[in-house]
Amino acid sequence: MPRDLADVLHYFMPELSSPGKGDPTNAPTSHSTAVLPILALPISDQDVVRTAFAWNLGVEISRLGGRSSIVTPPADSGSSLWPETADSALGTEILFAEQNNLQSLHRKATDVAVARAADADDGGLVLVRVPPTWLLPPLQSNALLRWVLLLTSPDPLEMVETFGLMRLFHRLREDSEIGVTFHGVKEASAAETAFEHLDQAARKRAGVALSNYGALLDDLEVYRAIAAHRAVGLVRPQSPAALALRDVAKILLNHAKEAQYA
Amino acid sequence: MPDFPSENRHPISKSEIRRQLPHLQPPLRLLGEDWLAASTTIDFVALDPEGDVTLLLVGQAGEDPALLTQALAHRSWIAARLGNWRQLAPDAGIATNAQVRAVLLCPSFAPETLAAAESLAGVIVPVRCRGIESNGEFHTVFASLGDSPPERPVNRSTARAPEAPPATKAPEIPPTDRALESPPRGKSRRFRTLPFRSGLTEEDLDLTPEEAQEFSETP
Repeated sequence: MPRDLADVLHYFMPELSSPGKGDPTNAPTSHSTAVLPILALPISDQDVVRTAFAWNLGVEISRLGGRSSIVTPPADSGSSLWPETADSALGTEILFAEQNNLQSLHRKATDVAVARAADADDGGLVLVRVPPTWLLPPLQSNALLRWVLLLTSPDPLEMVETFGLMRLFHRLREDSEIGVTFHGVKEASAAETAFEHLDQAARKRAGVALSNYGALLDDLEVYRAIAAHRAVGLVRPQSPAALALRDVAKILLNHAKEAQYA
Repeated sequence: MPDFPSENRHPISKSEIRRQLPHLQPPLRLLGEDWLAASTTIDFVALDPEGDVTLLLVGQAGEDPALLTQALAHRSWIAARLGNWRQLAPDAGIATNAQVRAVLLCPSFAPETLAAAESLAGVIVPVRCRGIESNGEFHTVFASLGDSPPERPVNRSTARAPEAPPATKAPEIPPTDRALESPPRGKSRRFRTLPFRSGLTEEDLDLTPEEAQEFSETP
């Protein structure tokens, strides 16, 4: 669908018919913005674990009062990666881009970021599943890569992969803010140690400072809930892992309020 | 077909079933109890030594037809999720081509239930089960009425179980599972051809041997 700036300009310009909207002194005190921040998550087509964490984070953001939407490639439609999109109890929505490419993904994410901002008084964000193989040259667009969340575990192989992904994102977009959330840990201290290791390597070898977006604790009940496509925060809201999910969601939501990555 | 004496019968004890799982033939390893499936719970979800999944459903007398229906539904629900479970719990030992069978534990079975189970070629196994008091102690007694478990395909392996028998032919491992295989510690892995979980390789990520080495010994 061809589109130029004029098509979406009204989203970003003050409405003349709406008094006061264009006046910076009348800026709303709530966090309602013209565009919700967009968070890119590199997750491959068969990665059930990271996908599950992504939509569970979306659910937790909604439970915190934020607006959350998930945008993913159309190839995911009907896939077991995601829960039933019709399940409104989740509080988050899963939307599909029109085409299986980065530009279409970005277009859809931007449309959703604009459309949902109107009723996001308590903030929110748009989570986008970006298939990592789409980041290989020739890259169509780096517009989606302003804010990135890497989900990883302290497993040595995953640490190497995350380091490589971090550097890839930095090379594709130098102003990319890259956050890391660890999963597969029993205690938060294990995630702290792993993050420090990763951050040191990133600073030393790539000159990149990573942001620590907390940890998702391992819990059998959590995996059961995820395996059954049930939101951890809804099934086991008081489990340590659900509380950890909530903490990560809080970090993301607060960060989204502080900085605009649309 | 053995029968149980009509006297001294007691309700089936789930704790007793749980205790006996490792001592059955084949022995079963408990994965979960009261596992919420689509809308109702599965009493026990267990794994046999081959990495196949066994569901155990406990019913009282007269509940066997409903139990059969539930078993079929649970079996379908579980089978559709096994691929995901292998990723979520790679160490659980679920076989790559795991089969799912359901064991119905009931004090008695209607002829229709047995006929239906028989037509399902061993995927539904009715087992007569009853609690009996003997010398002041309660015991749970089993008597299988159905077919033996289905034949296993030759070409199979468990995802992580070291005790798995060697396959006659290397099974095809999906990329995600291959990415989980850790290389030998400290060994240089330049140009790793197997992809990471992201689907990218070391070459795609432009990783040097030193960078790969950096994380080979995670603190």
